[in-house]
Amino acid sequence: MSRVLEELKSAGIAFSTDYEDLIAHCKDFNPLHQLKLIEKKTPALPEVVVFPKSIEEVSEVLKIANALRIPVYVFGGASGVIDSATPYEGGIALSTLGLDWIEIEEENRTVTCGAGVVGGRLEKILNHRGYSLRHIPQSLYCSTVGGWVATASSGQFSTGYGNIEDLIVSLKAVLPNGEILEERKTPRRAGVDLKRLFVGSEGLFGVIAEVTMKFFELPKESVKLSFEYDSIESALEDAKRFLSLKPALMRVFDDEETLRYFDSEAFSMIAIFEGNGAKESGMIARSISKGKEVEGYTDIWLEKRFDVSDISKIGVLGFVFDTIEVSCFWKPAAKLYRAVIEAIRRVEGTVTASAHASHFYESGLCFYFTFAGFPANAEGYYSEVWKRAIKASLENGGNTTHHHGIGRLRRAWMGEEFGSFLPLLKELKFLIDRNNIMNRGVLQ
Amino acid sequence: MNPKLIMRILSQTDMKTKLRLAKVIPKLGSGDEIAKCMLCPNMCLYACPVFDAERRLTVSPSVKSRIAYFGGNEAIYHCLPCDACKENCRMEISVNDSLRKLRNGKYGDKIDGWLKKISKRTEERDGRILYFPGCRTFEFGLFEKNVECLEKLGIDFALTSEIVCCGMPYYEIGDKRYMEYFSRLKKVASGYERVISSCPHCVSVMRELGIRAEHLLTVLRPLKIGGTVSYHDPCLMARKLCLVEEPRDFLKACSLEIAEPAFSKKQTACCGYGGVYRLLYPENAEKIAERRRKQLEFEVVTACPACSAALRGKDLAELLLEVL
Ligand SMILES: Cc1cc2nc3c(=O)[nH]c(=O)nc-3n(C[C@H](O)[C@H](O)[C@H](O)COP(=O)(O)OP(=O)(O)OC[C@H]3O[C@@H](n4cnc5c(N)ncnc54)[C@H](O)[C@@H]3O)c2cc1C
Ligand code: SF4
Repeated sequence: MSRVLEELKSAGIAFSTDYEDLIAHCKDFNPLHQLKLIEKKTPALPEVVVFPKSIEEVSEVLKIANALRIPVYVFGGASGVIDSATPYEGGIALSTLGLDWIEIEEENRTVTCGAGVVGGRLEKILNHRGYSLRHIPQSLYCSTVGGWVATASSGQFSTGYGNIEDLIVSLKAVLPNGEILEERKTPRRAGVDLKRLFVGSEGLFGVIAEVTMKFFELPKESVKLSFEYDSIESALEDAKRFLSLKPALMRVFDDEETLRYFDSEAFSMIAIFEGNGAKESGMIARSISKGKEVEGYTDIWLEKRFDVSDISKIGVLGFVFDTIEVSCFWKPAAKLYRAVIEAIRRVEGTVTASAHASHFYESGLCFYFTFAGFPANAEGYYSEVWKRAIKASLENGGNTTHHHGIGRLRRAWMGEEFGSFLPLLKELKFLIDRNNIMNRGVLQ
Repeated sequence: MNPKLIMRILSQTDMKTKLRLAKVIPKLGSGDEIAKCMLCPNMCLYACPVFDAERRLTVSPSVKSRIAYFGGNEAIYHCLPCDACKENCRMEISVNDSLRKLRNGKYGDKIDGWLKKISKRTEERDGRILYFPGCRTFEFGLFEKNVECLEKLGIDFALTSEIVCCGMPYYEIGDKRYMEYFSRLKKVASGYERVISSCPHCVSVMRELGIRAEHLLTVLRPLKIGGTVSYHDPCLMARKLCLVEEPRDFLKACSLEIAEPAFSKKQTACCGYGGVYRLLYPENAEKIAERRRKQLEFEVVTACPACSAALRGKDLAELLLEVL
């Protein structure tokens, strides 16, 4: 490590071995790490944290690490939940937060920003000019643009505007050997879309250093609707019907979440139609819905949608809390929902298990399960819930992840997820990162 | 929590867990703020000016709480009394308020030296209302201007040389000398009907001490000026004193158009000169100031001596003096 420090120094790159900086880069937001913190333990510690301020500096850091075969863990906002960048082997924690430039190209409706730009700041700056990314993950205010790409993130308005992969125009990345990748920016091209290799790459192939994204005009018109149903099936059927009206946002809540959010014991759905034609779409939605229209649920949800204070309130008492998001086609959706909820509830220690469907596609949707437990053995409980929930999803036509990613948490099911593509991923990793320095243990 | 939800949860929970829950449910909602904040994913990160300028997770709100929880003694000083965290926190946690309790005054001598350097004896003057400038009004050369403005507006006010600083700098770093300052301030203020100050932080400290204190704005009279300005909301003015529309109404009454920046009103962005951050980490404070300056398109008008210096803008009294 002393060689690394010497070389970083002579390259003029800011770094720190101060204990407080190391503690700040000891984990992501996986719940088991949270429990460790309560016991005043760090899940892991890097040996040094580097703070590059430009793409060239990122390249220098990776060249040094690659030459000396030192593991590198990439840190954005550290809001990832899948135990990914945790520096179990020490090495270098590379913070992308110094890459924080924002250039708005208003005429092209694109914004180019450094990977370390915090989403909420970018959105606020765009809003001030009358625009929006319309990529609004719940972690908007604490995650970075680079992190969004690296985890294949999905926002609350994905049904209308797409996921991160639909919003990226171009990107710049730095390979583990320090080579800087840059493509011609264009609204679209034929041929292999190589930048897609970095979407969901979780730091495996290098550092995403700069991202050019689309943005949209802030909608002047919007219609908010809410309905209640007597079953998950009828709520999902309505959601499917509404899709042809191109809603910007839809969410179906099960009875437990409806109770939590809206104080009612039914199943429910909220929908937002935006922009020109929103009123007409809203009217058609009302006329084709088979649900009971109710007042104000959408506004209640909009008000509460960034409130995650329960994590802290129950976390300090030792509760285990997490979410599991999977996607599935329409056909098995209701069955899968019941199977996963049942699987989680069966694990001793479970206090609550609930779900909502949050992202919709022509062919299917994402189910987002939330569970909290108060078990005697937190680690055993956590791993049992995950095992049973993913098994139930896979057995009922679902997959293993929709937008949080794989990290170390879902490594065990990579074969099930990627099938015979998996060896290709391993070969690509070897080709791009010969010395296996990047995010060791993640996605592999 | 909704009782129906509690019933539902209990009906689905196994007996062993129910028994464990019985012990913990009474504690729901308790737990200290440092621990709760440490367990938060940093939901106010985007608003934190210290993080924004330093670009280190180490000085981000939730991580500072983590470091405090682990007994760290440096990052806990990298904070401003801006309350941008509290404004964006569903638990209304002020990270600076929590960290202040853990600071042990390690930078006391620095504050001492600075305060000695800027302290100035003022003339004594009688009156019902005391004008208390506060240390930063002296530091940034605004004292004489404020006095001139008050005089020209014909406002009756008292001055005292008994106290220059409210004690906030010591209070912020956990140096016990603040107690002496606070009690002196209370004693001096008790001789007047009320106190006015051009510093929102002084006003807020005085109010917390039970002193009847107002911002200078409340006694100023608008005069015709004209043009367009960017109004910068001082953090404490907007968030603690809740003076958001009042300064805008005042500027409008001066025939000024107000250009709002992306971060304004209660969602204002700190200028970096608040509290003692600038005294401890001058380079970082400059970075914050520079970032804020870039957001302000027109000539900057504000209502705090520290903000006006950081943003190379004009304080309200300075603005009026131009036409007085
Ligand atoms: C309360 C909460 C709500 C959330 N809501 C959502 C949601 O609505 N939608 C959603 O998709 N996710 C959500 N997440 C998960 C998380 O916020 C996202 O995965 C986010 O994209 C991570 O960004 P980050 O900057 O925090 O990345 P980090 O957590 O720092 O990193 C995540 C992974 O990406 C890698 N990485 C980060 N930046 C780079 C880079 N520049 N180059 C290469 N690799 C990089 C890291 O090494 C790591 O493997 C939520 C998390 C929390 C805690
Ligand atoms: S102040 Fe509130 S929002 Fe900010 S990190 Fe702490 S708990 Fe989270």
